[in-house]
Amino acid sequence: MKLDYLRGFQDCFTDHTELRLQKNSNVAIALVNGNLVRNEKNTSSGISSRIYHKGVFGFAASPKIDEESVKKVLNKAKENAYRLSSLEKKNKGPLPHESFEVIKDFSTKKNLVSRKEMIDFLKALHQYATSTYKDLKSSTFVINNLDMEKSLLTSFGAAGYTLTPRTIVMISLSLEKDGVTYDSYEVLGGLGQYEDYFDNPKDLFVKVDETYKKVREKSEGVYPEAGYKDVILDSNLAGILAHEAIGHTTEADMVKSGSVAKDYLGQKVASELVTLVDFAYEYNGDICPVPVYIDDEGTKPKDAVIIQDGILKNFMNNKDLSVDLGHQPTGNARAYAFSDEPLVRMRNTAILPGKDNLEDMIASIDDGYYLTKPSNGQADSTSEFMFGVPNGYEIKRGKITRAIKDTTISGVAFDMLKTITMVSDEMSWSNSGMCGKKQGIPVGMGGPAIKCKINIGGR
Amino acid sequence: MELVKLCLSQLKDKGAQKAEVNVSKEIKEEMNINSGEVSLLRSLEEYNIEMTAFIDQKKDVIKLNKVDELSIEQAAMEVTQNAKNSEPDPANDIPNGELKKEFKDSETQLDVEMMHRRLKEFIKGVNEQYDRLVIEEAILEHNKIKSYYQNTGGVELYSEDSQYNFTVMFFAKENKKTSSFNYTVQTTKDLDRAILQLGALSNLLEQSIDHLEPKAIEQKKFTGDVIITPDCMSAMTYFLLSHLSNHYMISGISKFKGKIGEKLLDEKLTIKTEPDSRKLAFKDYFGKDGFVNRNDYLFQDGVLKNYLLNYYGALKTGFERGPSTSVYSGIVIEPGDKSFDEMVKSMDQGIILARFSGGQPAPNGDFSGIAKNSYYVKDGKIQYPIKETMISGNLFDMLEDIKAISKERLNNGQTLMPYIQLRNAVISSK
Repeated sequence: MKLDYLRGFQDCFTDHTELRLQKNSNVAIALVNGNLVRNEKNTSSGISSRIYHKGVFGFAASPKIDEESVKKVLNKAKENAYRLSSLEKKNKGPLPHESFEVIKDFSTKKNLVSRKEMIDFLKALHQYATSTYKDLKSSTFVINNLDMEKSLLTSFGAAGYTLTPRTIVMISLSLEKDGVTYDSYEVLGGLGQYEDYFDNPKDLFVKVDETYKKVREKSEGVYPEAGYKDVILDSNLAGILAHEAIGHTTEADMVKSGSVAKDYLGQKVASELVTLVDFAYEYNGDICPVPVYIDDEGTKPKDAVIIQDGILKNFMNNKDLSVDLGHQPTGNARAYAFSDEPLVRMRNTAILPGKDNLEDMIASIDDGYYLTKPSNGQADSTSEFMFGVPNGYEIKRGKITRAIKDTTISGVAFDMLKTITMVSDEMSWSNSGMCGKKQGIPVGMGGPAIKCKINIGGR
Repeated sequence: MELVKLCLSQLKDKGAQKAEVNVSKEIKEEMNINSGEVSLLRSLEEYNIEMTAFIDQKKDVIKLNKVDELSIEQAAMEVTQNAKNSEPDPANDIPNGELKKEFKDSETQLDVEMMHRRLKEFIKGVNEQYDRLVIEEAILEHNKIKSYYQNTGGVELYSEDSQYNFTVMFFAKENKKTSSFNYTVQTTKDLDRAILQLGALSNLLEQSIDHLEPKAIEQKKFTGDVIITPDCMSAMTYFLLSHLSNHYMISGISKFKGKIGEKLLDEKLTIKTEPDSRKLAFKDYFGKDGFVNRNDYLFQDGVLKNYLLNYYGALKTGFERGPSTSVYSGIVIEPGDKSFDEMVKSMDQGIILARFSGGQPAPNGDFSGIAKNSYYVKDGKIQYPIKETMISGNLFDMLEDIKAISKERLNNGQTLMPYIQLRNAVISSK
């Protein structure tokens, strides 16, 4: 038991101390046009310690986890904390803390399959795609499995062991029309290991068909007309809206710096149809895509209700920033690798479903767009956000008509949220999000379909 | 080098017919500013081992950060076993020949006290000179990296490099007004200069304060010029150069495949890869495929000269291995003959694009996104900072007909970029 190993160093703790033992194991396989261009496993593991002293932190890490190395890491973290403290002379008081222990292991209960079986799985998808669709210009199939195994022991009695795996299969197809290449992709999977999701490649043939249909439609589609439009954001896009548009501005580090969210606490920032929550580990009794049962500085995570019925209620924070802002820690401090310090990160950020029916929502638009898939996104201190939209359709007189080519949408979140007039009764989680904020880290995102007004790029 | 030899011998012992090993050791000291205050001192010692086993033209790669003999033996066993079960591909190969080379750049000494002094001076300078500016996050790190490559074909490469990297993210705030955030990255060999003197940092900070009062462009939609700033050019070159690299070339969706020697972009545009540049602090002496990188043209006067393929990509596509393989760093664009001021004066209507926040451009070059930290230009004059403005167009079409390239260039230690003026961008405002 790795926690027992860490407990052997408890006597070395002299200040507010975190000691984390972590292993990230990532298998990545990529088949491009039938060629195995990537076939690798990356394991990164080690020990790290972060020590708080009078308002600053010292951090040290080492891949070596023998007794001598762990003690060296603890000493170096303390030396760094004291050195920086003597330079900064802040004399800030102690951080909040609580004592609890948690053990959560999401590793598969099934027999592990070999790498060869994974490669054969992708080959079967490739074979199906190329034999069924002769006009494909290229095909890419990817398996990515990340297992994050963390053990954390703190000086104040919080301790945890978690193993949180995530596996995705990506299908990407492209074809050429009139000398122009178009592509479309689908991502499947989520919390769990490969064995929990993928067994028979035939189960995914329907997803290959859907991906082909989308790229074919796009190649024959039209450019959206640039401008401020009525749109339906499908439930697949609501999550990235929650994450990029609102989530980032309500992370406590951004708030402390002065993001616009700081000015809006307690105020109406959205239509009363909007409730937005960063879930710690569970929604409606189901486990979220990225469950966090103990964060990386030893806080018992709570759901952070950020917007309730349109009112901005709360921020996501860590111990240090909760003191600065006069709030309670929410358990959002997370680190990607053993050698990373915890930062304020989202976990499973979602807009909650409403009562409308998607068909009614589409029917209510005379001239606009139904946007069905997001790609990358970005947020801003102003709450202006954007994300890429690789797939969508025109809506004319309440009916879906032609597919559109790739575009980008943008808006100012705290303006745009007030334009929401309908929220669907469905809920969809995105399981493959990676958020880049110094360290890339898996995040969950979710929500219903939304009717709103938004800026759309195009021609 | 003993560690590399151990990895290689273990791979051979476990049955690899050919093998290659990359090992890097990085020692990092990092100081962080969060919300305007120095708050963290971080020390890391990191090892990255990458072992590749080849059996009957089948290949597998394993990466680990453990340096003990048992971990390496287990990794060698696992990677050779997986290689046996992999897929054969004639492009799975290593370079052969007795090549032994060492590269060492001038050493940058670690000085933690100086790092702290520079950061405090930066905070003080910002507070005094840019009173509404907020430093959201800044990271000053010293990196010392030793890299090794060795294969069973007789190639042995070693490099040693050290530098400081400074990354900062900031925005301006006054009462309830907030500007967009902006960021910049600077790689430097020393801390001789104040941080505020690095790159275009002081200009960017001023621009953030300007953007406390942005306006929406009155004309809701028009087609005009766009001047892309050097900081923003990196995002554009990344997409352009991706079409020269493995994925785009192997999958066949590259715009440039099979077109070496053809004039594909405007003749004013010359882009070089300089992995061993005298001008840049960044160095990338050799690739993980065992090839020594070299400085060379990618596009010369608009003519495609080289791809950025690695050895696998070269064997797979039948083209030559690139002079380097990076689409991010070591990129140099040659200056033009117009000053930035002349470029602005030549514009009837358009924008200066200082940051692009957009979706990944489509393979055909179509892009759209938000023009951040940008300015509206009309009748040859910068009019005002803009907000909620989208820009779209086709990057390839626009680069085939460049209006001007500036004499001025910005060196951030990893790239050297001018301002580039393009035509026919669609600009739309809310």
